[in-house]
Amino acid sequence: MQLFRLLYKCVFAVPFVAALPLITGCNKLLDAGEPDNKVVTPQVYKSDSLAQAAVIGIYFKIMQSVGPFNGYMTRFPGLSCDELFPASTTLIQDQPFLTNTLPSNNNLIWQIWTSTYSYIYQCNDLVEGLTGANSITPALHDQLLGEAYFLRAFSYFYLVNQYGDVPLVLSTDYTQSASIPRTPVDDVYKQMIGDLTEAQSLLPNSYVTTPEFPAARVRVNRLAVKALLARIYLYQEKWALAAAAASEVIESGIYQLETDLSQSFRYDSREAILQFMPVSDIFNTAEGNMFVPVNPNGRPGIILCDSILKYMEPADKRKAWVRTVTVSGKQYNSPYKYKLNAGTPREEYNMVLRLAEQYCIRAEARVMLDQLPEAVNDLNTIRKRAGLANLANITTQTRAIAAIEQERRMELFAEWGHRWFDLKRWPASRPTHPGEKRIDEVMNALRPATWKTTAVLWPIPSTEITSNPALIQNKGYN
Amino acid sequence: MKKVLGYLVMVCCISIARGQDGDPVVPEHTLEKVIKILKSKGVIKAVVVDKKYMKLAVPVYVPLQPVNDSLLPRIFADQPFLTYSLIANHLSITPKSKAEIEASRAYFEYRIRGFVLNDSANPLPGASVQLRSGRYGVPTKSGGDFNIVWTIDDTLEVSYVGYKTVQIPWRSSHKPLVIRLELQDPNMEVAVVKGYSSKEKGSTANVSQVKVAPVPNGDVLRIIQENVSGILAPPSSGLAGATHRFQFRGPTSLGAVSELNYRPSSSPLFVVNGIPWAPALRPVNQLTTMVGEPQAPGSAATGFDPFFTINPLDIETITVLKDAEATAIYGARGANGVILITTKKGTSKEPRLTVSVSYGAGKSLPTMQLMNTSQYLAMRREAFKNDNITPTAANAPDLLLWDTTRYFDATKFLLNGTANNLNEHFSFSQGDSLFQFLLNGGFGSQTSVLPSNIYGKRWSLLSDFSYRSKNRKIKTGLSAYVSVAENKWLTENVMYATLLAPNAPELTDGAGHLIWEENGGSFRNPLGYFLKNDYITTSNTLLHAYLQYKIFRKLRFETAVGFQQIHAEEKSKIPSSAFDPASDPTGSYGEASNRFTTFMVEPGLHYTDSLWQQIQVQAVLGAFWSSQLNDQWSQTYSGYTNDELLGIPSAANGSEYKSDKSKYLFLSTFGRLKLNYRNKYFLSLTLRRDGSSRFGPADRYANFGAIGAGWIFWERNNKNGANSYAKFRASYGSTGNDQIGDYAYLNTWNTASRPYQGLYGIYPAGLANPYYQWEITRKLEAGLELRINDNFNTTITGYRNRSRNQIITYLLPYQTGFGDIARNFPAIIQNTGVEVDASFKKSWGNFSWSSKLTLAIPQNKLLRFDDLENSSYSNKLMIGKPTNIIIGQHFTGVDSATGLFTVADPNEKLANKLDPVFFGGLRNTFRYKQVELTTYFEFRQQKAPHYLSDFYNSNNNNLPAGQINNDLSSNQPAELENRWRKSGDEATWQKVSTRNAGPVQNAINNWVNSDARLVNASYLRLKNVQLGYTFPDKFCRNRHIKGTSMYVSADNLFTITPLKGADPELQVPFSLPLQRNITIGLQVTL
Repeated sequence: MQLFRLLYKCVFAVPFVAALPLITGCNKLLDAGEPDNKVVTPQVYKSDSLAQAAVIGIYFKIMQSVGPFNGYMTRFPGLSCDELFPASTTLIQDQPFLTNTLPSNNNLIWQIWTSTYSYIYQCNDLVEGLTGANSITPALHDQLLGEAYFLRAFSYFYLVNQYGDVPLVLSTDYTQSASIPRTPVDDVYKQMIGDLTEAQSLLPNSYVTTPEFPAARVRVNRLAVKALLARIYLYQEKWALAAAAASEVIESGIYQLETDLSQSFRYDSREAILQFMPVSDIFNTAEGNMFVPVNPNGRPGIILCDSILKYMEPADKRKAWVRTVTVSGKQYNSPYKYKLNAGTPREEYNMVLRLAEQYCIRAEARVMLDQLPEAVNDLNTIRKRAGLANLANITTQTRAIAAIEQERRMELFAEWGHRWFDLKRWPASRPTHPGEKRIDEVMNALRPATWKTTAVLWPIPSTEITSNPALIQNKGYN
Repeated sequence: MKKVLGYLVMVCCISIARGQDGDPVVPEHTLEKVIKILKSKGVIKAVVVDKKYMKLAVPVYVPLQPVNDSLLPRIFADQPFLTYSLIANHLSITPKSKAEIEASRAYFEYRIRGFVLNDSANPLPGASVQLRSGRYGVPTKSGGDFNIVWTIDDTLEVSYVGYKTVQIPWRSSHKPLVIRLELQDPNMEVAVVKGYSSKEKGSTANVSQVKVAPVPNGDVLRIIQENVSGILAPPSSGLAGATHRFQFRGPTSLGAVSELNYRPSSSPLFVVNGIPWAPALRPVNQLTTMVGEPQAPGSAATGFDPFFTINPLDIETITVLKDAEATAIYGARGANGVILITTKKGTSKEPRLTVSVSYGAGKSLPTMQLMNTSQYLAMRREAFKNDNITPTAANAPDLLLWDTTRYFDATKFLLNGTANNLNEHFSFSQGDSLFQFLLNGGFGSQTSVLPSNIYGKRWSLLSDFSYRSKNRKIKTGLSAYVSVAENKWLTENVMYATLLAPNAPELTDGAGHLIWEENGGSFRNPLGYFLKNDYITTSNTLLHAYLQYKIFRKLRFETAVGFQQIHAEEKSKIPSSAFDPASDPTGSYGEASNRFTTFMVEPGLHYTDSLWQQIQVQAVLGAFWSSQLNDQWSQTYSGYTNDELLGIPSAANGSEYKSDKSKYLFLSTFGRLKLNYRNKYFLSLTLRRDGSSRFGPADRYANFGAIGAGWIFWERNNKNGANSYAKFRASYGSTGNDQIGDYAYLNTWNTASRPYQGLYGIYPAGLANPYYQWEITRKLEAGLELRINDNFNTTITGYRNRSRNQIITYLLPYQTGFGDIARNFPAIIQNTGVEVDASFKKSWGNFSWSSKLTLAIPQNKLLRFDDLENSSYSNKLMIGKPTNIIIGQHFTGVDSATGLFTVADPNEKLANKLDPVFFGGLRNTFRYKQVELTTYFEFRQQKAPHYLSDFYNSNNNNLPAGQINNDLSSNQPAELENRWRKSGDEATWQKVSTRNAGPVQNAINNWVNSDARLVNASYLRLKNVQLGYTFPDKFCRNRHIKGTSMYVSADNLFTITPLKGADPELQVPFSLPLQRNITIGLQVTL
């Protein structure tokens, strides 16, 4: 009976306690608070640490898993042209890239589109949030804003180069951004240049480091902005501006080409202008994970097209960047810039911008500006590091252009789709009809059956067109 | 096991005690005795009478003086039902004709006095005393006494809220009646606490109640589907513990485009022992298993269903609340209906222990017929020929590297086993009028037909006690349910391995090692699937306590508190040995935990009264508060190079951790008023105000209400007490839906799971809309109930539910940063339909037959969707059509010249309905003496996607005909034999090709997007047959047991369906098929 009495009291007491606020007001009883493991927007731009975390969040999202800027930009453009090839049975996901027949409902082009726009959203949020924020330390404020501008331009750079005209979204307000139609490529470039110009005025030449990683170049600095500007001017064929921007990076004295080629892609590489730090525990870089088998004698999944090794001069030390293995009597050559397949130790970072590319940019710009000796000089800097003799007989612009193509191909293979983008922007060396691009020349030789000029652009993902009818599909796709 | 429920059966106990002295005392004799006296005095010589008529006699009060002929008219004048004739001293007694009874009605009317006492023998004022056919009633006065004119043929009905109703057939009595009322079954009172109306005559609500059979078939959801019209709960797999798909009067919510066909938020509210079931119908596991992806949208999410932790043998009743009037009490969460599950309760009986054991074995139902080796090879060669490609070792290892004479039937290999199930259960209960106690315990295990040790096991313990104080002021009880389920599954759907090329190599070598290639042609060994194991351990703890306190006569305070925790823990082990060693595999290991914790409090005040002695009033004022916490995390370790070390974190090469926590609070206050005028007219009103933490602070609260009315417009009573009536009822009301996920109104940021440069980043979780509001469903319903002599019972219900202010996950282009946003949208979905529940029972001597039919004809329609054409839903929805459709073109067959699928007009838009046209079940029970035979047929008229659409949507390992993938899972259904081969062929299926791009591949879209994709999947299935034998009482008595029975039961014996290739219930070809089970069982009560 004692027990029952106790029970009555307990059961009886609870509802009365619960009923009390019913009379006084129920809001307390319905207040689920804020989620334990989440932050809510208004707080973010009031504190230094949260605002910084919001920028770190962009780098994290980029590196969280395999995605546009973590592997995809190397793999799929590479497979699309004469760079990469699957080693054995073709994975279903790679197939359409090998035949340059992408359906508009392809999951990978959807993923690349959607992830990139989600980074842009994060950048827009930062730009909007930081613009009015007055409780953030000014130096940090500028640094963060500069990074946001850079990352936005960086994202748009890859979007326009893959999809052509893309909606230029600069706001987080979905009621405005949901119906924006495709913006002409040139206007998007204008915005990128604007963003980068803004960023270079905000950022210092030094890198943001932490005591844990004192030498890491994993946050955007002013020279990274310059380096991307150099590339964009090059793509825009603003040769003088490109050469000037590249010069500023090269002459800053912060970067130098690693003489030991196995050092180039390490976390402490001195030629790195910007690297993204791996966050996944599973692998160092997506490229390393993709190209290097776990087993030292294992067969790689993706290999290099034969032509790359074929065109490499015998003395080229960059052969160290190719891994050759013989499995069941068959030889496989795969990219070996990154050496590590798995997660620990954390010794390789995702190389985003590096000095060698700046030399290539300057060389190309100088060729176009008709400064052939200076251009050859830049190429020779890279060749010297690769253990090769200086170029001779570069007497005409045509030859110089061929030399630049050769050098860019040998230096930048299996990195961020450089080859694919270069082929798309270069005119054909012997155009059979006007406007023909280098890509048509190469691909008509490589895949005569399937290549179509319209394949230079990926289709706009069909679901995006469904949800924003203002978008119009690229030519050659339905 | 035969507990009598208070809801339906009003068995009464009438005790007639000697009352106070009243009318003049006259000695009382029975008619038989009087006749005996007359015989002995020689007044009559012989009596001619049928014994059965003597039962109609009433006592004789006539003074037996003088003893002569003149007595007889006086005696029979007082007999209401009998008359006599006297011929030559021979007395013949016959029953009166109807007309005679009618003529003498007035004479037999008399005023009777009586007293109504409560269960503790105290006078009960305010009780209703009514004549059933006369519809005239009086209430008892302060001393519990009443005074009423009682007519012959009429039945006196005494009722009082909370007590069992007593019926007394007409009798001639010169003494006052003393009627003692008994309290209703304790369960009934708990039901009243929750406020819903039970299935009683006076109810205005549509409530279906299922008393779970002593030997239930299958799981909780199957029991619901088999007994309640309008509910469809097909399993998603033949695997024990897998989630069900569920539909209850059609979808009310649209949800995101991607989830449209899955109705993510149209799940009803499940309440188990008073506590909202937190996971609803979503799987509780987080890691991918052989039944599917638990994180997928809506009901595409398939995984472990926590209802598996509930033993059906522990369930007493399942109550399904359908219309607005019934669901109003659950207001804001009742938009999709409410299903209440109540576990068993103690009874007020002598101690009894029931032990039941059953054992069964099952074989897989047939699946699709695949090609044999010669058909397969011919198809592959033809595909190469069609493409003008020469087969090479790289693109045709099956043709060039492997033995082309071999035949391996992978389907047979995988599904040829026998599944076993074992169930052991005991139940002990004891009680008296004050204290009742129950203890149940059970163990069950089920295995699968696969050649691997796949199982689901469950241990359960249920304890319930209730107590009532002697002064009847307080009643309290507590029930505790604790169960643990342990399931061993695989991490991947092994059914895809049925597609292995039929000339694949042997699976193992002589030493038992797995083989992965032959002559350089590698394939995925089906045995590899069985090395990838997934263990799910789910515990379920459910505590529910209630208290009722009678403040004064008419007012009662009641409260209930509940606590529940469902905790699912998972371990998945994928060793590197499960893969081809040449592919450089590593092992991985995953752990996950998902915990739901629910608290709830439900206080209420209940008032009962009668107004002007005509109208019974019940009023409830109550509140409900609940808090649901969900805490989940998962960690996956990958890169194990040594299988021995699998599971040791430090041996992994990397790991990923994910976690999520959320809180959901719900508060409501409600009032309900029920009026009953002379047991003929009924009215009920409910009003409530609900708040949910899932909405922004400005839109948290909303008001809901319902009104219901009932009218018994025809009623008859038989002499033997059987009741016939016809009732009309109607209800209208609004309910809400807040199934939109927690915190969706907040602009939240997630924290990065790993640091970047030593710092933890944050990133936006999604676009937020702080202004969305409740989704509202207005329900209109009318029903007709007809009951004839307790033999035939039918309810026909028509309803129209309109759900508006749809919270849709409005699809946005990803250029906004995210793909969707939750917002209210002026779209209206209408669900109309007719439901029929009919039952019939009759017995002829030792033979009895009962039959029960459930039938539902639902119709779902999108009434309004503004600017549908320009919205992201334009390819998925059509105004005026059901929401669950496939929009496509008219299929025009295979072009005999090109061999490709064609459609009439590629821009045509035809809506092809996926939901059933009608469905239901028919249960028949035949009983002869001790033997009982039950059959249950299930039927459904519907269309379903052709099973080949699973091949053509090649998301998985299955591929369009002619192609091969990495795993060499490239076999095709034998049905493709009827394919186009050469120009001029009239074929059903188009030509085969090895290419995954090009005209053949493009033409597949013609078929997939056409009406040919949907085929007739109607079926009639003998779901269950059960033959039982109950041992005779004598047999049991001799062995000192209270009862024993045994049965044989068979599931899925036969199916009639035009559907080929997939089960019409499951509809998908690649889920583990259902089984044909035979179970034998024994039940002993000690």
